[in-house]
Amino acid sequence: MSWKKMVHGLVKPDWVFAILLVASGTFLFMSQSDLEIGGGLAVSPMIKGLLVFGLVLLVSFLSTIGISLDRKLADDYYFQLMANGAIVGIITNLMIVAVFVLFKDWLPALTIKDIFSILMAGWSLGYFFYRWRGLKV
Amino acid sequence: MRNRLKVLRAERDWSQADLAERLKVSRQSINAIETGKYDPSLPLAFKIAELFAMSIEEVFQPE
Repeated sequence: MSWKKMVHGLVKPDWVFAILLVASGTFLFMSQSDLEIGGGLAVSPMIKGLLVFGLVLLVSFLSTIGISLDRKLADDYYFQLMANGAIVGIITNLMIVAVFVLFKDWLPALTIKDIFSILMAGWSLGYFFYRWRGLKV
Repeated sequence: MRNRLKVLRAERDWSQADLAERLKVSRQSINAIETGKYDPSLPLAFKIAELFAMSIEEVFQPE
């Protein structure tokens, strides 16, 4: 057994997602923060757009390679659970952010930390919902 | 997709863990296939059929 297979064998997805869920839930209820990312450099919207697009292109490409490796090494069942859970997480995040944008006058503001926590909690819950109900539902 | 995995496994007196080990997958994968919660990927379906010396159609049937 290669070391990569051994490491994958040691990582139990149920535990990873349980920890992720508890951590993201905890972050949601912790004190508010005014966390902002970056902001030290003033550039034109065009330069900023190019920088962000370039990073998205690079990171998504690298992620594709990483996920291909994961698919090769991980159990197919768990990989499908994680992939389906990720879709649930993304949709949950988009919907909740959209609700907070639409009803901003009646709801509190969401911080970056909140949005990140919602994404992680949605992913974890999606994983466990599929684990419970099966991948065919 | 229906499957005869549980029956084929029982005929050989294998536990879910035994079968999982032979297929190099988790026991949870075998349980999920048997309980109809998950349809295996094509490579895994081929592996299962090969292990039981059967064709895929003999192990898996469309619902």
